[in-house]
Amino acid sequence: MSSLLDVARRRRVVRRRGVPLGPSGLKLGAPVGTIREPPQPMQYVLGGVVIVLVALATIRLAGDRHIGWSAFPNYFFSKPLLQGVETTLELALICQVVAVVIGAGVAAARVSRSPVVATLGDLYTWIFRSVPLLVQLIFWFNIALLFPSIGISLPGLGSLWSVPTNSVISGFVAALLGLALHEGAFMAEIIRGGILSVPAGQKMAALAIGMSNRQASRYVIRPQVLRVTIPAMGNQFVGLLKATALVSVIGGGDLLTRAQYIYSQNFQVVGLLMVVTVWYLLLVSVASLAQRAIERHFSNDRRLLAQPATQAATPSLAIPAEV
Amino acid sequence: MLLEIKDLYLSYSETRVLRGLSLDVDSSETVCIVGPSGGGKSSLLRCLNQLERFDDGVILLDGERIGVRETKRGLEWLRPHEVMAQRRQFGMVFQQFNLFPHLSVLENVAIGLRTVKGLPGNAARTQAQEALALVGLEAKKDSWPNSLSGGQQQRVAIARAIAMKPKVMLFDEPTSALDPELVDEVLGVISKLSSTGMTMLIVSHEIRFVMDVADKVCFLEGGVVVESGSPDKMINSPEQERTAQFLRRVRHD
Ligand SMILES: Nc1ncnc2c1ncn2[C@@H]1O[C@H](COP(=O)(O)OP(=O)(O)O)[C@@H](O)[C@H]1O
Ligand SMILES: [Mg+2]
Repeated sequence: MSSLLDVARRRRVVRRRGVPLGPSGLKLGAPVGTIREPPQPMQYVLGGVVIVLVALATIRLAGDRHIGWSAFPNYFFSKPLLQGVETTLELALICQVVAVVIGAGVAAARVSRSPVVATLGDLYTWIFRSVPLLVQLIFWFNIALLFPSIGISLPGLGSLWSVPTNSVISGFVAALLGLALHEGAFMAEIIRGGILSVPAGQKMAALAIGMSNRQASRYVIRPQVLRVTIPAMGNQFVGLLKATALVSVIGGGDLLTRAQYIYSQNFQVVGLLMVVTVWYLLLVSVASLAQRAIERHFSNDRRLLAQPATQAATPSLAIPAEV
Repeated sequence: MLLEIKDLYLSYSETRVLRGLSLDVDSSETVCIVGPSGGGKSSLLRCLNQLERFDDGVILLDGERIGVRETKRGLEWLRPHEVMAQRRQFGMVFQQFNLFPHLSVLENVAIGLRTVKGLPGNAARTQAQEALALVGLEAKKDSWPNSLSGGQQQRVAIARAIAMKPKVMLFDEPTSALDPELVDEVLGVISKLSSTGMTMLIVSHEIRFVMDVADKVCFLEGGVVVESGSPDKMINSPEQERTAQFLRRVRHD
């Protein structure tokens, strides 16, 4: 559609008369943007075909009684679905925050000098990135089968405090655990990539002016890691928002869970799925717009542009970065 | 002697890099180090400010032992905060500048004053501006490092180091990463600092600059100082054949 508009706009450009010709016969001093693309008639044909197809599909869907458009006024803003939207957003936001924290810790562990700590980080990433999210969710939901109760007990003193696991691990808590731990593994990868992208010379320069390891991380390494990883983190969030739908298998109380509960009683399956679909489109669109804005903010950051090649070429020394 | 290095040894796993290197730098002296690539020049500078741990030898700065402490049970590495305190006595300028790209020029210089010296923001910025003025870049204080030329970046890096008021400045091939037309502005700044009586240890292959600025030239090869002396002696009447060969080669580059 936009290409149709583009063509139309270009056609409207009027050439100015009386502009002097240069030696090659080209007009000199023509205002910027007055030189046109050659006409592209296929664009009109293609545009026409698309319009006709979209119109036909709309007519077909609008008149379809199987879809049950009536579900929209009845359910779109209904209390259970709004609660579902809230739960979905809560899950995505809390998990994102927890995942960034986990990811920072695991990434720092993986680049650590200590082989034990580094191996633990590798192990975490390996497990939580390899096991399908769906499997992890079902596992956490059923953790009571493995540990019927959780509590604190000290040798000699016996059990100090204990509760049945099932009373703690609700669908929501299992969903939080599953999503955050899984997402944390991916965050760790993103952050580790960010750490490795900071040239070793940065840490050396920070230490050379007398900073401690901790100060070098805080004032020099971490801000640079953040700048390169934030766009990727935004992308992860959009993925996470959609992944929350998986928690419906354990009754996580999210948007899809609530819709499923309603259509299991009134059988308006397609109608409610359409309502849910539109909600996801809305939520993901807003998240994508936010992500786009954040990305633009950081890609316009002049500090990140044109990193001189000499900095990237700094020979790596045996001084690992720490975050 | 402000800085004394005696019998310094350093190996990276298999490679023996420094093999009993000795070198002295007097207060306010400018000592230049020349020598073939891989000879251990950068490693030596990194040992001095403890970005690298040496294996054996003694480094004394103002009579204080660098990096280690003698105890009843033998030698012991210093603790991290002691290492940091000693490191502040040295200023380091790297071949690749290593400016912090996320900070403005002024902040690049001020950050050490704020975080390491604990100066309040205003005082740090004032001192940072003074340091920038010394390298002739006060006007660029609000620019981002990546918008500067290589020569300007290196001058900011010099300002960042001298702002910390170190006892000894270390320069590791400060102009090797620069386009030829940008070399002179950086060497000019270093010459100026040298003439103000700053103690400096400079690795450089710019022979004319070395002749001009050095009180003493050391030829470093194979992890030892093969020969050292006044620039005039080193160029015109070196005692070692290796020194003569090397200097002839770099002079004709
Ligand atoms: N971090 C390191 N790990 C292993 N080998 C190194 C490291 N840094 C330098 N070397 C080796 O030590 C030797 C001396 O290097 P360097 O001190 O950089 O010499 P120069 O600065 O004189 O060119 C070289 O053979 C180099 O490959
Ligand atoms: Mg070197």
